[in-house]
Amino acid sequence: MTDIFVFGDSISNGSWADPGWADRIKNDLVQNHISNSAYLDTLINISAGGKNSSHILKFIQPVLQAHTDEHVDSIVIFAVGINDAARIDGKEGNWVNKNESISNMKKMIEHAKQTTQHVLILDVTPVDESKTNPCSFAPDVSYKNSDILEYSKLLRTIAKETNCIFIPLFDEWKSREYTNYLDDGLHPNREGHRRIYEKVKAAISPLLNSKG
Amino acid sequence: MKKLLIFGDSVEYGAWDVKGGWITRLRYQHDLETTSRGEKYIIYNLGHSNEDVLALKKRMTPEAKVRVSNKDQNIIMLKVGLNDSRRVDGKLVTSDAKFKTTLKSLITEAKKLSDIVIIIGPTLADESRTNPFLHYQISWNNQDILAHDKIIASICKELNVQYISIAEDWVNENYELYLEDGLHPNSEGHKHIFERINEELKPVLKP
Repeated sequence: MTDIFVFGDSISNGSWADPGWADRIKNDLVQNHISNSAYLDTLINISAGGKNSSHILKFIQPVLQAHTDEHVDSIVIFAVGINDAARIDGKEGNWVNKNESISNMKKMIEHAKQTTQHVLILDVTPVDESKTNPCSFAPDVSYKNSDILEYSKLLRTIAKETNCIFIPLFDEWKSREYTNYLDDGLHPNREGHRRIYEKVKAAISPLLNSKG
Repeated sequence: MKKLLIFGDSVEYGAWDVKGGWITRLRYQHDLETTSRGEKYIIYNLGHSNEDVLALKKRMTPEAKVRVSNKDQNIIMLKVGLNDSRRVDGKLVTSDAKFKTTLKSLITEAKKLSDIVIIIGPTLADESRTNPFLHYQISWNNQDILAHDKIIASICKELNVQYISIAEDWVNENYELYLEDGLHPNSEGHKHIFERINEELKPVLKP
């Protein structure tokens, strides 16, 4: 049995997507249990809209402590960073600057590693700037791909340094007609979530299988 | 924006509905309705397998604090009682006294964290399959479940919170057909719970 914890923002919460990438994985685990009487692996989604790495750092420890069970293996997936890269209210710089973001991520990974060695970092996805600079749904917030790319690089570097599995998305999406994967310019649509799901599934499958 | 946080056990997690469980059904329906109206609200599924009131007490506040906000109308739903009705080696895992005090303190805490608190009661079990349950040393019987249903109803009345009894509905139906393994609802059972709760939530979620 394995508990998969997802810490993230509105994208991993799957807000207004039917279903989001994390729900797709969860549904697979349920289906696997029904069809194959496999062990009950669960996905616990601790994502919430509007969260950046500073928010998540605050709650990772109490939440992991309340949830983890010594008899159950864990996998932790961080799906963080796009909100760090946001620009708010015309203020200078990003919502969470890069140094702080690096420090937050490293602390979060440290907390997660007290529970499991299987820590995965999901890359950020590019936006359709015509709709996100500023955001049509939140005019005081902007997202730009030049910013998001910086945070993508940062996540990749941290994953390497801390020996976590990195699940890349940004470069591949950027090389394709990625605006077709987006709903409101920021949040992925069905196709976008399906693509993220495929990547995450491929990354976690060996970790689940190895536990029989 | 309205935020609906639903805490519960493996039934809320979605076991065993291939469509994700009653909360996912609720969420998709409201996602469709609200996005077409351009209005925003969020449903969080905080169901966790194996959870009884003592385990819920450990995580409710940290999990809720992450998600509620002063800017929003926050609604907390707690599904309780199914795993507290579980017997291990013939003994109830949560004593009645402990169940009552823990549920009362959960409701009091939830009221501090949110604007509206709603409690949901346990589903019934098919005793031919849950006594014992699978290969485990654990069992459920409906006498225990209905006793918990009554305790919850009386605590909710005392603390003036809305209670949704599922057992009350099911007892008059062929509820064995709603169960996948005797304990967890199948897709039909989840659909039934979704429809009941959706109806109850209409006045709460209306724009």
